Amino acid sequence: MIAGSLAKRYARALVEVAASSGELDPVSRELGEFAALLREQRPLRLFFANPSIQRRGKVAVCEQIATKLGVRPLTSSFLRVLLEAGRLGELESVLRAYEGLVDERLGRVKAVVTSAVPLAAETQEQLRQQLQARLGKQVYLETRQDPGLLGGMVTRIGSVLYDGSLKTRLLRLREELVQG
Amino acid sequence: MARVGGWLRWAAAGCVLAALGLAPALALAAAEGGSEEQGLINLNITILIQVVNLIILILLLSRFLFNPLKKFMADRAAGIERALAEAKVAREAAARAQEEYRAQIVATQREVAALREQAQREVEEERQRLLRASREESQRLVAEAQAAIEAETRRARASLREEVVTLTLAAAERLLGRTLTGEDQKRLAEQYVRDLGGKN
Repeated sequence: MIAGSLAKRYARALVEVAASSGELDPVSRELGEFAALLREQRPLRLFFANPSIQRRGKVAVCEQIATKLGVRPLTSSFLRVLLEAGRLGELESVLRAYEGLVDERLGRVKAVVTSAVPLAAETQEQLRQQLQARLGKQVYLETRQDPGLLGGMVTRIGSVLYDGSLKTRLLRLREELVQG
Repeated sequence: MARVGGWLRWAAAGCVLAALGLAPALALAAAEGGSEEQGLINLNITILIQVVNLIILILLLSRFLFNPLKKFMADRAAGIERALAEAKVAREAAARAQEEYRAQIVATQREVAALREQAQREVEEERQRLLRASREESQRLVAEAQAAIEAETRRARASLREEVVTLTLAAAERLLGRTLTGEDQKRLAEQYVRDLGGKN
């Protein structure tokens, strides 16, 4: 993993270029799709991490994937830059830094909401408005599912956690009962 | 020495008796040869000779018997006195030694008594100390055992409670997973949103 400052440096450069062309969010989304593909496809991850494969071949494969995903030229160029610098394995760190910088630039925050079952659009909207009222900033949600929560949901904004899951309530109840 | 002195005394007495017995015989012989008249004692030359004989005898006896005898007796008396004095000195020395021995015995007996008393005191103190140490050790062991029992009991209770709670909540979790409906989930989500708004 590259240092946070290095990831921020790449992210900051990308933000500047994307902001000038008005592509902040699309680039973020496309980078997220590419990162998810690498996360889910282990052979592909190993291919890009293999030092015995020539970089030219890796670039060709990367461009083919970008074409398949239909990413815009800026995203494709940035992925190529990362690949040629040997930093494609650190795409997740760069992406997190990029999202942070975009949110900061646009004056918004991301709330990662994890629930046991998929949330209704109405509930998501109510939650978003509650969070905006609480933080005084524009909030957008990133939803995830975790059946292990049993019920309720958990919202993480940066380092702050709002935990309303049944799983956590049961754990607290267990601690209280064990402590007597 | 006493036997020699006795023999000399008897020899001197025998000589005197012989002289006394010889004198009348000489007087009788002189009377038979000299005169007609004979009496118990005739005053003539025989008497004179007998007196001279007696004197000579006395002188001889005095010279060869009585003086050595007196000297022997004096020496013997001096020896006896000296022996008595020596015996007295020895008796006094023995008495002093006996007194010293008696004093030493008394002192030794006192010392022995003191040592015995000190030894008994030390033995008693040691016995008391050992008793105290033994009592304290037993109390400490009992306290430790009680503490260990209490700790073990607390630990066992806590472990049992934890196990019961874990099993109960695991059962509750399984039950919730099976019985929670979509409506329940929706209600929980709405409750969460309300609670989040209530924290403003």
